[in-house]
Amino acid sequence: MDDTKIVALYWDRNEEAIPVTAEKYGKYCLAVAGNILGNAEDAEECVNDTYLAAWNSIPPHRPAVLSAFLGKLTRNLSFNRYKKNTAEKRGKGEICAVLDELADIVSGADSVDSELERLELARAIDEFIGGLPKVKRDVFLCRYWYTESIAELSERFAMKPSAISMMLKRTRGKLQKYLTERGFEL
Amino acid sequence: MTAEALFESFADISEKYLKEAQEYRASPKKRRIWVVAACLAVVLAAIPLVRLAVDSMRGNTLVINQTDRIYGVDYSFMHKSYNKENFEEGLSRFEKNLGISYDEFISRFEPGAVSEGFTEYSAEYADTDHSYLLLVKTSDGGVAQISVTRSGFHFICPMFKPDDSEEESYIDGETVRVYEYEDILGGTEYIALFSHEGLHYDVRASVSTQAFEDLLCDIID
Repeated sequence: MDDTKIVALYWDRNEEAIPVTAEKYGKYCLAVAGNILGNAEDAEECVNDTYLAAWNSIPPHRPAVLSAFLGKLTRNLSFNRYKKNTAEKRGKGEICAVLDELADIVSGADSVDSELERLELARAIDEFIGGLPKVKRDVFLCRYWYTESIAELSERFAMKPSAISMMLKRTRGKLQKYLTERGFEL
Repeated sequence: MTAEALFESFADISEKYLKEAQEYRASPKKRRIWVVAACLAVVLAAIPLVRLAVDSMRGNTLVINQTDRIYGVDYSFMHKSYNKENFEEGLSRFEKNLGISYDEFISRFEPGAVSEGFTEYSAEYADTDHSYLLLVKTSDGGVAQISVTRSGFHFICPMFKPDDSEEESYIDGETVRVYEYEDILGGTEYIALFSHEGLHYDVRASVSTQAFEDLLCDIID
């Protein structure tokens, strides 16, 4: 079914919206959750939570890109679950490697930032991402947004794993420089 | 900041980019073995006539020194091509002589932009000067020759000595000398000479100014 029609079902409070969403985007959401959690059972639960979150947030939202909207919900829910699991020593999955890589460019200090600072940081990151050449941007997002493994990226982009790793390393370095120059304390 | 906080900061990235990334799937890879022509044709006479400065939107300053050209062939090099028959040996020599792996080197370019075959040029008199010549597709569909060496010896234009009176370009913070000249067919060709991260580059291409700048930005990534 067309995304516009699916969103219309949510707006009409038609419960058919959930199975239709699950049929079209269930696999995609499961991949996003699975990459972060590395646990099928937890991932399944997060995807079910995603449908509920979508039901609760459409309306008032009318997502322009439904897949990305669902992906964001899944990613946030899964990462929250990951943090809970880690506190309970149950963390595994690709997210550990992703966080290790990101740790290269941050101090690790646990700073409490205001909502305004968080928004400014998010805006700066979005600008940085927008300025990257398309393939580098896609590789970066597939790794640090979708939490795909290096092997998956290698296949998706038809590049050797070492080349993917090197490209990511360079882009991380650029992001660090970009944010530092703009006064963000990493 | 913690890695977790940074990871969460990515949450608000534009949905357009997320959708594009999710949909990206490289077309089936075709093995590309390009023939690298072993032509050492260009030697430049370094007399700048006109200078053209272009301030790009990316903050780069591209200053092009126009120059006359002299054609010649330098036969004092030995060369060996590495292709599908002996590629492993080539990869090994590339890394040994440049201190960087081939995969690492080509990761700065778009996937599939670099030819898989390359040529090694060596000076007859010493085992220290090794240049590697690769072909790279440019953003406007053209092809550029990139020569890279550790020794500082300029390969594409070996008799070319930069003059202090020439203008310098600044690309992603590196100083680059860029020259424009008329090639043998009457077209415009650019050459750039620069060093970056301990390697020395000669880049030569008959492409648009924008594509040439894009290429230099990729190399100085």
